Amino acid sequence: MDYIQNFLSGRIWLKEQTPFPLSEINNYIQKGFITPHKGIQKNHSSISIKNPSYQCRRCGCKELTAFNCARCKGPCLYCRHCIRMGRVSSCSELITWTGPVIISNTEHIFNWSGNLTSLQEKASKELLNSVYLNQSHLLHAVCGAGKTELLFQSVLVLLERGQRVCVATPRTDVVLELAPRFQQVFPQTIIHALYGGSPEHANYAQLIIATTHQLYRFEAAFDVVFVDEADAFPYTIDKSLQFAVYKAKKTDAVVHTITATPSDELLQQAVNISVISERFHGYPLPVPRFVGLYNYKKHMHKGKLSPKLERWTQQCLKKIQPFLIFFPTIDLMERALPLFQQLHENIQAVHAEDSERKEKVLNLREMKVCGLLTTTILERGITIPNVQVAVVGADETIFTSSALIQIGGRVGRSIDFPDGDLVFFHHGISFAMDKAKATIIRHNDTRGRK
Amino acid sequence: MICLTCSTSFLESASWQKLFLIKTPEVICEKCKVKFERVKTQKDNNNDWIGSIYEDALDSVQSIYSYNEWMKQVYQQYKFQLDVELAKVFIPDFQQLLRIQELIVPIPLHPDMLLVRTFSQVEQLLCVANVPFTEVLRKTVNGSQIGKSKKERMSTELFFSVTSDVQNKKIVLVDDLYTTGTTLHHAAFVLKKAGAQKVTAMTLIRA
Repeated sequence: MDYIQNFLSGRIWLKEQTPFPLSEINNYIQKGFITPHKGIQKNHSSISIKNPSYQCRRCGCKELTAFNCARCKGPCLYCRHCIRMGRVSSCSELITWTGPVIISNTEHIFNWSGNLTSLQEKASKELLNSVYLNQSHLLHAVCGAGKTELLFQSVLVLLERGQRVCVATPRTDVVLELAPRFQQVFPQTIIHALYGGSPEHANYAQLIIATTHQLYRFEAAFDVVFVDEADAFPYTIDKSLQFAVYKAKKTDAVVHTITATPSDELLQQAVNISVISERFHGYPLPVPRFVGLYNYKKHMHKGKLSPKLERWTQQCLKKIQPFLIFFPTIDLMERALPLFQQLHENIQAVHAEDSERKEKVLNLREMKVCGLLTTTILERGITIPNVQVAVVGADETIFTSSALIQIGGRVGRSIDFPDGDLVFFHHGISFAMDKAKATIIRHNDTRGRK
Repeated sequence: MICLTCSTSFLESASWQKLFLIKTPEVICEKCKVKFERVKTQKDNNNDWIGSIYEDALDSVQSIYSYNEWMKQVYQQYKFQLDVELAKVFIPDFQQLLRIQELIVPIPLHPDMLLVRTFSQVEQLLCVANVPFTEVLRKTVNGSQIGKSKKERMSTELFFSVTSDVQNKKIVLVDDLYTTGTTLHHAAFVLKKAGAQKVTAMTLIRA
């Protein structure tokens, strides 16, 4: 029983896809230790009784696809939204563990000797206080403030209470970065890192670091959920990911959020808020320069780089500084790549579906490439010492104020190079650009007043 | 519209044909569409079978797409992740069958397999394109060709039986994937034996 209990506790899993023999599963269902649920359920909040609306039990998606099913011998609904985790349809069952509850470990080794700045210390205590009060907390800390360290104390308290904790984030990159850090701090604790394509774990983990997508597969599992980078794409746009987070937590559990750029919605939801306006090294945030780069698209379509952009790149190359140039679309970026490669052959481009994404970023960090052209995919989560950043077409709608702030947050992160150039090349100044600049200046002012 | 394969929204070009429902609306975006690669020259498929009892069974084969990485990905999602909706991507390709006079016969799944998959991936392609078809074949052996070598595939037992009269009929077999051609040659062989006059085949993909 142990291994099924370990695996299934807190999870919601397709019955056809469990790694266990069907006979054992059925046996537990009879005992009431496992409860089967219909994959597609009637929506209780539906207004019309005659035409009930349906919903995927796993991801909450209401836009279902109908087909003529050989198993149902008739119409059947299935969910395309979460199909990559195995198809949920009217004729499939999801199972949850409803047997004995796992008694969690309350003894954990805490192996962290770093120092917090006074601002970090204050925010860490405020967060801990919210954990004690079981109230949701928003940690609003500028890029490079050192957010992860702030969580350690709270996570430790929760683990020692024997509670189950999840640190969720919309980005796989962030999971990959966080998991080893947490494992180092809690060396004896079983921690699972879950993301698309991650290895399957059979044992029970008290601390789970996961992408928000993976939380589709959990139900009433966590006593506390921390959502890191809570404003990152696609979490804010995809309502089903928010549904996933709320489904994955226990009913009275709270969700804490951590971000550098909170949306108005997040600010409204939070009960308690901590703000850190200063980076851990104490230097101000780089303030963007606005430089007009009119008709840059026309130039690129003609196979030319705008002189200003060319000069900026040449400067970086001359000073041997690594650089990132952000583009609004993959299409434009790919058009621009050969033009940049005429300046120096060691300039590369990277986008979301690039299989060599990790290596290319690593190459930039190790100065094996001079610079990278990129889309918003690299807007957060990466640290490259002495990096210089330009945004081409900063006025495009994809560059929201929070995206621009995050992009700016790449500059001057390391204590050895606390400053760097941040240019927004534009074809007319947008509201988002103004807002980003004003927010950055406001943070720097708050810091000065302290 | 939201693209069925990449889930991004795209603008569909307007046309009179679409307005009067002559042409079906686009279900995938232009970017995804161009990733499919059409088969330019139909490969000669009979060579492998010369000398065997299947030599003259299949009169010709026409395939639409080549099995490139993109097609592999899309087809994987359709057949194994059971994303039935993706059949709609290929509606225009199968609508050409509306014009022919021959009997259209899809390669069937074994009944046990059908229960596992919940739909027949070949019939579904025809259904969404509104192509009428006849079920003439029955699969008698529930086994997959996957993982077998070419030699193993070509020397397997016959795995179809004919369930209705095909005397002097002209038949177009429809299948999803042509790899070594074992499936189609076996099917054609039993049909010819049952009296079919001509058996040609059409497959979505040529591997």
